[in-house]
Amino acid sequence: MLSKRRGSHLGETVGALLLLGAAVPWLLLLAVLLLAAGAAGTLGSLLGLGGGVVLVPVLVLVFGLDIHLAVAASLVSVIATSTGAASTQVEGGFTDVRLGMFLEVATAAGGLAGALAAVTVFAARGSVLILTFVPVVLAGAVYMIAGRSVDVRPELGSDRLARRFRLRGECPDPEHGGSLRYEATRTGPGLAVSALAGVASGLLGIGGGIFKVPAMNAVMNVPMRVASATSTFMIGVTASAAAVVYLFAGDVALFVAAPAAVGAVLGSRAGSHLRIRVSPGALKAGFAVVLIGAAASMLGQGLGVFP
Amino acid sequence: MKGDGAGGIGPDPYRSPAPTAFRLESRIGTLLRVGLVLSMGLLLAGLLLSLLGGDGSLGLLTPGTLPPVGPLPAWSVGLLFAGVVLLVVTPILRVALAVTSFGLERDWSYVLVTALVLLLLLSAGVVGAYR
Repeated sequence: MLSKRRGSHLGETVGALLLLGAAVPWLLLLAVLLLAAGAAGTLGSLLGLGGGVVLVPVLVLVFGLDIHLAVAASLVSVIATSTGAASTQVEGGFTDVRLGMFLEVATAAGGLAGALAAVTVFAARGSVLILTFVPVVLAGAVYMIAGRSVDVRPELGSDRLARRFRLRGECPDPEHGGSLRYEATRTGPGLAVSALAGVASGLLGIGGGIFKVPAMNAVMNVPMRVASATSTFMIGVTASAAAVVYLFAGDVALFVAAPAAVGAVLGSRAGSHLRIRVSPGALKAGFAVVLIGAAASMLGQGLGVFP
Repeated sequence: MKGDGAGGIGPDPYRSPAPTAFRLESRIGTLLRVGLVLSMGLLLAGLLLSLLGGDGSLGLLTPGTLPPVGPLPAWSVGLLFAGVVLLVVTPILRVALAVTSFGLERDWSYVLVTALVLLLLLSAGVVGAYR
């Protein structure tokens, strides 16, 4: 009886070890997911993109997740990136809440219009529409590369709308010490591009950051660091409305979204600390590379080369 | 730096919005930190619980699958769901807090702006739900 019990103990131990062994691939996948989400969070918060550009392909290609589920999980991680970045002490100096809320009106309205259009008019064939956004993205890349030596041009001053809504502020200036004062200009065109960002995300589900950062930096003459931090803030707000819908439709795979969110928070904190160390010129160059990649991907999707 | 008069009375047009912005940021920052810490705690607890399994076995983890298949401890799913819900509503709460903060500062144009954002987000949610 004693030996039998010992035997069953041995069996249990071996069984547990086998199960642990069987669990290792799962743990490996978990590690890959955490790393991918961490990278997405770092890049997303540093450049103001959110990070869906990085995470969605990983979820589809590595984890074999359905695109719908991948987008839902990515939305949760984008919110985690936005909240994680904003909760760091350093981020407060770069996120312009007024500017973000002001432009968010146009983005949210555009998003609503895009979503309505997606349900009604363009329900059948939305992918061709993606082509119309390619020139805008490429123009953003050209602006970023051409203007990479100058962050902001103070001589541009501000315009009436910017003064009416007090679109100005100051942020830390690590290159020159002290703080950098800025005021927005060309507010109308900036609003228009922000609305376009909303239409693109409502209609096609592509991230708004690729439009919002050029809208703030290249169009409105806001420092690159403020543009990327404020874009990260806005993306979280926009994504949360969509994510609530996905969540209650049961499309958020919790065991994917939860580790992705944890990884994204850690990554975004790293990204927002990197923001002070990376020069605005390097940020712009990196952003231009992402824009060119996004344009190529949109071109491929629009022409039906890949899904 | 044009003396257009829109900035107020002081010699420095940048000075007047600064304390307002600072208070707003610190209120929002506190909300974000609390929301984030709570939701991360829930998510980590849920993940740990599901990794270990409710009954102390790793049997529910089948290699190569994510999410794990098999019966999951109800507790872990509940914790994960609560964590994700909290995470997802935090930015909406952030906008709602901004509405009240601008209201307390008597900054009516921005009360209007943020309230409009909140309204548009809710409408987008309704449209999305019908999609």
